[in-house]
Amino acid sequence: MYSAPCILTVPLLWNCAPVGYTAAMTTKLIHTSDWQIGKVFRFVDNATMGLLQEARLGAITRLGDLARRHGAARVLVAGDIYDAEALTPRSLNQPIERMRNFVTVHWHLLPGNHDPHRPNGLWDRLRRRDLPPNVHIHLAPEPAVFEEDSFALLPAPLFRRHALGDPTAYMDDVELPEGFVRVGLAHGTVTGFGSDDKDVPNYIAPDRPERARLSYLALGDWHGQKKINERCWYSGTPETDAFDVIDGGRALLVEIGGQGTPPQVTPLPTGQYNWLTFSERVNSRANIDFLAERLRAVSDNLDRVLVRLSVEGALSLEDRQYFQEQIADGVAAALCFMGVDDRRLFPRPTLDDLDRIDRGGFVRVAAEALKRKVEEGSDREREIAALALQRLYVEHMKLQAGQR
Amino acid sequence: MKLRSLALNQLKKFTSPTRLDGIDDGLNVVVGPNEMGKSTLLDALRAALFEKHSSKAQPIAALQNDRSQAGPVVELGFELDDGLYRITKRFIKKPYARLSCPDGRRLEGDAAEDALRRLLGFDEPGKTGAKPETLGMWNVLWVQQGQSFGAPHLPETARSSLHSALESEVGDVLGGRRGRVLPQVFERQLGELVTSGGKPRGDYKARIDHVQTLKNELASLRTRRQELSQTLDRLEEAEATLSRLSSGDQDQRDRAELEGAHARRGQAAELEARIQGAASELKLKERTLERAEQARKDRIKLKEEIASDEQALAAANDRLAEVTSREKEARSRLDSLQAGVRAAESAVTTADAAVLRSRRILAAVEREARIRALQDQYEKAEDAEQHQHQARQDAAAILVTEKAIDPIRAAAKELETITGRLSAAATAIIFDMSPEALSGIEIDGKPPSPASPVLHAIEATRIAIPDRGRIIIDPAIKNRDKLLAQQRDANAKLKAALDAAGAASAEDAEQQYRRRQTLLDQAELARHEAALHAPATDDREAGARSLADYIEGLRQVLAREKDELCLQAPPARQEAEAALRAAEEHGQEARHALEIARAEFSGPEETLGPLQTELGAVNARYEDIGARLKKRREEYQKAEETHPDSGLQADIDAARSAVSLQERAVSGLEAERTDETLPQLDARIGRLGQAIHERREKRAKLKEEIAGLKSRVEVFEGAGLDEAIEQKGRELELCERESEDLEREVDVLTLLLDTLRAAERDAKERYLSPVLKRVQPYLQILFPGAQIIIDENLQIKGILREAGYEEIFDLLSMGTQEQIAVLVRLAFAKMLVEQGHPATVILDDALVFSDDRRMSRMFDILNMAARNIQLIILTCREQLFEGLGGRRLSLQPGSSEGLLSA
Repeated sequence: MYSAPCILTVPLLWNCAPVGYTAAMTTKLIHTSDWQIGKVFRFVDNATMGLLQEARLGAITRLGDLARRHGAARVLVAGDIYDAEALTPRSLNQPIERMRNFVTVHWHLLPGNHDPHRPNGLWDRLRRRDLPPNVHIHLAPEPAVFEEDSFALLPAPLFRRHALGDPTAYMDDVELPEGFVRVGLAHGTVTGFGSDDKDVPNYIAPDRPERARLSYLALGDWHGQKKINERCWYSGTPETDAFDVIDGGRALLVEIGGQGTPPQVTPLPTGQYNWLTFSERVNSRANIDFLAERLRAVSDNLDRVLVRLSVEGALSLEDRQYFQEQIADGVAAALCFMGVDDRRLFPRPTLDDLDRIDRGGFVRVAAEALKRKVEEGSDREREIAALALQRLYVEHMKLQAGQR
Repeated sequence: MKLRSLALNQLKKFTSPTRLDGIDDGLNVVVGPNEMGKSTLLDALRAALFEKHSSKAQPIAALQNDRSQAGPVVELGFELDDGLYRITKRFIKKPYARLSCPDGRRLEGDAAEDALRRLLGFDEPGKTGAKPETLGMWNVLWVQQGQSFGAPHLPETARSSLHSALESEVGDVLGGRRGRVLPQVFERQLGELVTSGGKPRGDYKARIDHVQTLKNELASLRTRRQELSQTLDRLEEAEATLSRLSSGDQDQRDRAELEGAHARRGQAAELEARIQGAASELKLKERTLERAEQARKDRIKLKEEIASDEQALAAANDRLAEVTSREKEARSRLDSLQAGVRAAESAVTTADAAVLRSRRILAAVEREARIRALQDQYEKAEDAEQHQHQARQDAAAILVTEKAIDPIRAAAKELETITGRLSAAATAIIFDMSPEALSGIEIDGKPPSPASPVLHAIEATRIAIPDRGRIIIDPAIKNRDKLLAQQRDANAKLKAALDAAGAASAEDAEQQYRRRQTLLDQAELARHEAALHAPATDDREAGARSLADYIEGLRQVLAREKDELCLQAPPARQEAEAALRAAEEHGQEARHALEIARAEFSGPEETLGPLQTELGAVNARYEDIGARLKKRREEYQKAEETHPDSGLQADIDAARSAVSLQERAVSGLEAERTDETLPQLDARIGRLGQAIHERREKRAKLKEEIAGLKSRVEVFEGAGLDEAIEQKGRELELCERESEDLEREVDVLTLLLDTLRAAERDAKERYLSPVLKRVQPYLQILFPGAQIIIDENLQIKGILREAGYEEIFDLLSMGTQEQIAVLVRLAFAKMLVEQGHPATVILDDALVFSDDRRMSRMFDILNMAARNIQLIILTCREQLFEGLGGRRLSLQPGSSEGLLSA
């Protein structure tokens, strides 16, 4: 038995909004968040990490392209543009330079809990250099009003990692001339989602759009895409960065019509890498073959797939070696990354296994002693004994091959 | 297998058919002296069984008897489970092989040998004859002479038969090649990760070290990140403070207050200055009063001093008069005492003169007496000198001096010698006749002397006998003429010497010489006497003359003394001595008197000194006081003239009233002071100024600090610390994972090796147990409590003693090695026999190095073993092996039937 891999299915909307199309009185926005530039991936090798980091930067370009294609003049980035506060100048500048290229697109950046605005912090660093005119950073809880398209952005920047009190609360009292589209931009946790406790840091009231008369509240922090209500969404991260993220690798196209009508919100795919988790039982050579087949079939583009595989079951020494060759060494080579958790894959040495090691003599006696240890003893002892037995088998096989 | 009989012919030294029969099941002993051919028996045995009859190999050729050159023949009877076999072989010449089996079959040639190999389990020998490899186990069990020492050599064939015997008992427990290789593989793999002591090395160690390095680096990055956070916090705080300080509100408040304080301070300062002025004036006036009062006090004091000086002057005057009179008195007394001393001194001088005169008189008396004594000596000396002169003159008259006597004596002696020689050579002519008869006879014309009836004739002597004629005797003396000439010469020499000395003969000369000597002695005696009476002294030479001169000198001295002392006639000696004593006594008395007078003088002399000093002092004081008094009087005079006494009091009164007036003015001003004192106002002004200044400073400092902090932040910014920490953390995690993997690898390999080794150890023990089980009972007899160590190749490695220590086989003594090797052979044989394989043990001349105790135990062991296996012992030590027991076998001549040589 195995659980189904979590492959997201995203409605493809490429053709529904032609490039350059703008409806009268319709404000079009791209909502994204949690770019986490500078993120380090601990479990993969250096080369893979380079790919994953590059993909996160590439997502910015893809977002710019989407904005152009959908005629969205603004991209709202709801916090956590950066993964940390103290970054190298290169990490700091890389996204800015990507955004600079899209001169017709306005990028609105908001400090989140990973990159809060602190005096003399990274935002001040950015401010000190000349930002491109199409990149706006919102460092104060005050409306940014854009007369040219009657657009008012109400940002709720975070000033520290954990802020107490709802940073969006001020929006209720913001008065603006009639006719302006009011859009909120915030980073934090919404009640009834993940946690019920209003005392959580960076708490945001889900009914803020109503109370602050917002057409839309663009949220960040949650890496999976999530609709809170008609006017309130988490866009999710544009490039998935962990196996436990559900519906990551997306952005949102938000189209705001006349006042009073809810915005039209459309998910857009942006991710390049699939992060899949498998949990399998393996007890025979057939299981192994089947698993290999399934893993190879998850995508046409296996080098964009990361797999976390946990296996359990019991295999003969011969089959355990087969598993190693087919899955851990074989399939893994096709994937961008595969992590195998085989701690619950136990050896079940058969008489044949043991006979293959030796029919008699002390090596056979030792193999049987190890087999007994695999069946008894503490977890650690069993693990070591299992590995030792497997090793005995493998080395013996090598010797035999050498003799032949 | 049991050997039963052996017969041979034309084999080495056995040139006639010889048999060994009756070989028993158990222990058999073949005793024979050296050269009896025991070893040949073993050669024959081996040839019969293991060599091909057709062999041309060297060992076979060596079986031939050198002289006979016949074909050696051997016949061996042995018994297997199915009955008795007999193999007969002839070698080299017309060789054949014949095996008769218990079932009646007779096999010939190669068939016979093939059958033998099958029965006994050995390999076909090669062209060079049977070798240990082809012999298999038999090589181990049949031990040739000199090969029983050291561990038994086990050729592969032997080992394989032992292995199959072992495995048939315990099964296949060793792992073969794989069993040996696998642990080596794991050992190598483990050796790459850990040292033999289990310490990490190579990659593993590098990983562990790297983990530590990364941890340190991460910690240092975190520290820097912490520093960045703190710097940012501090920067925020500093900026907040600066903005607060920069608003300026407090500065304004402080400045207003400062101005007010300044104004009030001006007023207060003016008042204080006025008070200060009045107070100074008051001080001045008080000073004037003080001065007036002082002037009056000074005047009174001067007057008092003049009065006191006058009194003192009068007193000094009195004292001066007193001291002057006392000094005068003391001086006059001293003068009188001095006159007494002088008188005493002159008395001493007079007395001393008297003593001197008396002494000189006594000296004159003594000198006179001495002159008289010397005069007497002089006369005696004069006499002696006269005698001396006389004797010397007499001696001088005799010519025979010492010089003259010696030639006389020499000449006399020479003459005597020659005369002696002549008379000795002379012919003695003896007249033996009465004097009557003698008369008439003339010898050389002269009658013989009646006193000497013997005549010594030297020259021809004519004896005229009256009436008869003459007898001429002419002595034949050798050198007579020469001797006579010498006699004449000597006579002449004597005569000349005597003439020179004025002596008539030698005797006379001697007499004169003696007389002369006597006279000389007398003169010497007289000289001595004179010297005795007038000896030489410091003052004069010896001799009467100089003594006379000396006496004359003394007489003149005496006359002069008499003259000086006005002495007509010196007194008698006693008289002079008495006068001297009296004068000396008188002098002594005068001296005493002088001492007394001097003592009396010293006291008053000492008192006069102080008196004179005091007089000087009193006089000086008197003069000082006088001078001082004069000066003061003049001073007073002057003061009175300029400022009379009466004006002084008026000055005082005026000054006093001025002082009280000024005091009132001062207190009036002081009453004008307010609550705020000047120091208070000063403090406030200082404080406010300081506060304003400090704020300014603080702002400057803060700006500076902010600039510094900002630059530090910039430095940190460049490093991208959060990113670096994440990166480093990731590196650490990877490295830790690798390190854990290696740790697990070490655990896995360690477990594998431990398990394999334990299994191997158990397997070896099990594998060897059949041999050990069989050798152990024998070993207990020889080495109680010991165990034998054998490896899996059945090589003896050593023994484990009861005490627990291991001894390597090769290091054991030869005897012990041999004993143990024999035990192991016995065990092998026993194992083979018990598993149905043929085995017989033959020992040729073994155990010769064993001591008595071991030997007897070895005998026990051999007997024990012989219960299961057939044992044949070949020995040349009949006596030594008597205790062995077993069946004694001996060689017997056999019939040539069936042993025909070719």
